[in-house]
Amino acid sequence: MKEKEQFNVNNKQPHRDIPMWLLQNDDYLPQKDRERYLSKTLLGILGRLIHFRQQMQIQTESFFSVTFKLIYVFLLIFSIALAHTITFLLLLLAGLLAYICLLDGRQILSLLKPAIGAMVFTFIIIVPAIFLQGTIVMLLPFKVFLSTLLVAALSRSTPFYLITKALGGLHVPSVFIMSLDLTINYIVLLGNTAIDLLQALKLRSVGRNTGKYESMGNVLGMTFLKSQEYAKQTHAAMLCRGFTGEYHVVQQHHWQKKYIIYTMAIMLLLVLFIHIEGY
Amino acid sequence: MHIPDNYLSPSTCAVFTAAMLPVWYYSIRKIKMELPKDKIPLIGVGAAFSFLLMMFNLPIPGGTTAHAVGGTLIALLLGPYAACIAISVALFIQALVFGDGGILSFAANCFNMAFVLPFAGYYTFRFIRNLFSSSAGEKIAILLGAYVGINMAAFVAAIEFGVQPLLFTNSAGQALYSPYPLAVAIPAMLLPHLLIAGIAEAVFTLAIYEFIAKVSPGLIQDNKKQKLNPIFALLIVLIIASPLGLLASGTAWGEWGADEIAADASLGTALGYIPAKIANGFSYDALLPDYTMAGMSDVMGYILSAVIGAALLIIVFKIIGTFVSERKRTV
Amino acid sequence: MMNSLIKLLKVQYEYEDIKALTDISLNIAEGEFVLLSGPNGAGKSTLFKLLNGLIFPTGGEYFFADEKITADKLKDIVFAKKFHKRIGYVFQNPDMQLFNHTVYDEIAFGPRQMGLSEIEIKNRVEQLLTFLDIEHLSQRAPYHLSGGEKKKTAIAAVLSLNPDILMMDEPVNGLDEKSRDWIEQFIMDFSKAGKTLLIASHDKAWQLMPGVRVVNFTSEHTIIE
Repeated sequence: MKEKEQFNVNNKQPHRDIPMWLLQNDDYLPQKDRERYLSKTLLGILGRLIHFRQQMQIQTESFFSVTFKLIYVFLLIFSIALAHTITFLLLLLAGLLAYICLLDGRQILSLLKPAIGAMVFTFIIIVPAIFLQGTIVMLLPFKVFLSTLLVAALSRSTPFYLITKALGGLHVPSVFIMSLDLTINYIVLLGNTAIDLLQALKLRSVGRNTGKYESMGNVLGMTFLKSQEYAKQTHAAMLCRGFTGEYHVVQQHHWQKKYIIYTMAIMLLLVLFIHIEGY
Repeated sequence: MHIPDNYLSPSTCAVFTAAMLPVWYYSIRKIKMELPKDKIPLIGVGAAFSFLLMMFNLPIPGGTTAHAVGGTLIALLLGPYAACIAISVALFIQALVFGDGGILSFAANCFNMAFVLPFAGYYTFRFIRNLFSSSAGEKIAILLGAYVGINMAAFVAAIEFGVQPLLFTNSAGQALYSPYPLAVAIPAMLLPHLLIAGIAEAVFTLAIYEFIAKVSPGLIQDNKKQKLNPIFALLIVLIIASPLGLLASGTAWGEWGADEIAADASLGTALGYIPAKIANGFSYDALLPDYTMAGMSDVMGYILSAVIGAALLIIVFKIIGTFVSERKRTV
Repeated sequence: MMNSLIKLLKVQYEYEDIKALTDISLNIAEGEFVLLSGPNGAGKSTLFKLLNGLIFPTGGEYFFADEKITADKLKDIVFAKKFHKRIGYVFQNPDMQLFNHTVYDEIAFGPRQMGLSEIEIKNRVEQLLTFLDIEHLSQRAPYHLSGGEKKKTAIAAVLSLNPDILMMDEPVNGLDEKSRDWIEQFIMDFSKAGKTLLIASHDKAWQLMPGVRVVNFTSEHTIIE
């Protein structure tokens, strides 16, 4: 009952009068303006954020350890770069296609999109060179396709925090790894901030914006200021939990039988490469 | 400007990795010594920020959009060493998660965008601001710093591309990696950066910097500690300028004929050629039978083709499946 | 009967297989004061995004002023801008809504785009500054204001568009008592003046406000009146 009273009494803070124009409806017809930069940016950030969100939900159980996957992908990319003949590349293509055809359609699409994009881009760049150099340069788009597909497959099968952990095991400096961990978290956090601000900008972009650069700069400036705040808070939180400036990545290595299989997989790759490429 | 794998030879990538290791080491040491501890998380945040920045599309007069890298901006805000690590981290994530830029060429990309860009931008800014200390002078210094930074990076990337056909060819003299000589690579890389991306970077850097200077000036004054180290700046200029020597000695790629013709082919008219050449040139179906015979036995080729064919079929149907189920969902 | 401004017909929304809104039908007429109440996570914020055309129903239909709102229709920029102009949406977190150098610029942002003359803009901004009791903040940066001041700035920035309906998501969350009282009073005055309002709040006390129509959001992501 107390609340009811509170609302019936109308003299707590006498309000000033509502401006007259607020009580009438505007008859407003907007001017045309370019908006593509805004919607493109919004979509771009949204797409990547969704990717990160999915990335964090990846199933982690796998026979192959992340460190092994990382090394193997690196070796494969290295051999792709060194390959002179198409045979080896076709062999890899067959293996990769066989692997991804086990995935479900949406995953396949998310792997093929960047790979085909990179290949087409390379192809367009390379076209004039065919006149100069003949068809050997045609290997290039194919190689780019394979490398991109490999990296995409790695990132779709391994959550990022495991990759940073594996890097720690490979003795990458701790500042770098800490920055990586923080970056991943903050991309999502700052991404959400940026999206909110961009949406606010969009909702109030009701006519012709003569200062588009300025508005975009403001949104990003604001995002940066927020990032400062977040960083300060993170640091405070880290201090409270005993952070002294060193960041340790815990990594344990025990001999496991599956390492034999890892070694065999690497040997197989090397033997095939050397045999086919004729070194 | 993200160089994918296979455009640069593995040995070029190794050279850049060797070049970047001390840079990273020195930057990390510099950060540990000079950056207050409470600012260490800022590197990760700076990386996240630069990652996002590359997704912001700026409207360019004429209806197109371009995005910035933000290297100079981060260098202005956090110092060039922190910028170096921050952008390296951002590039690493782009390479590993999004296939933007290669794994082998990671160090080369870092050299261009995480080293050359922020340092060139930062020291250009300092140099000009020391000449004209007015507020207009500062604005010009920011614009020019950002502009010089990104164009320097593009220029260095162009050189990396351009030296590939000079150094790596097969016995027939055909390029193994990026096929374009310097005379083509430099204008092809630099023109879009000079005309579009550079302007976007400059305008963006100034806009964000001004916003922060107006709203939270304390942030920017904090970073005034760093001194311009002339020897270091000179060193960078020398490093960047050294490939110019290659340019001047110009006979090696003279055999590709008039520079203008080659440059034209790679830029404006490229699209005009494609349709005619696709017909009898490279096509995916034609490639398989041609090449499978060359390197391996018939049985092997047959099996390989079968695996690829079958896998492709499954993939196609699975992709069609996603479209069908998505349509059902929206109805 | 007053004209219907917002009409939702069995609206559903789901993303990544998670249901955020189920089977929502709602009618808001001009001049109504509707209070959405319900627990956190029931879908209030999602509903606001949908009403503002930031996301689109995955089932059902949404009409604004008898015009069906779809993704395709909002691709027409002139239509989209007019639509956004007619809805004023005050975010739950004003930090995420303010992006200009000064409070003055923040409020003038909308009117400037509408092509009003500088005198008219100045007029609007100054009246709003007075109305919301923030004249003294005019040249301050919104970033450094207190929570209550930010909220008032965000309200002024939205009101300067003179929207047909004002939507506020948890308008008093995280504010001190003085600011809460002020906002409550403002909402009542605004409703009394005949403006259309849609407010989300889990504060039970608000359901006793005069003239309010309470709509309950359930944890099943739907609404009951």
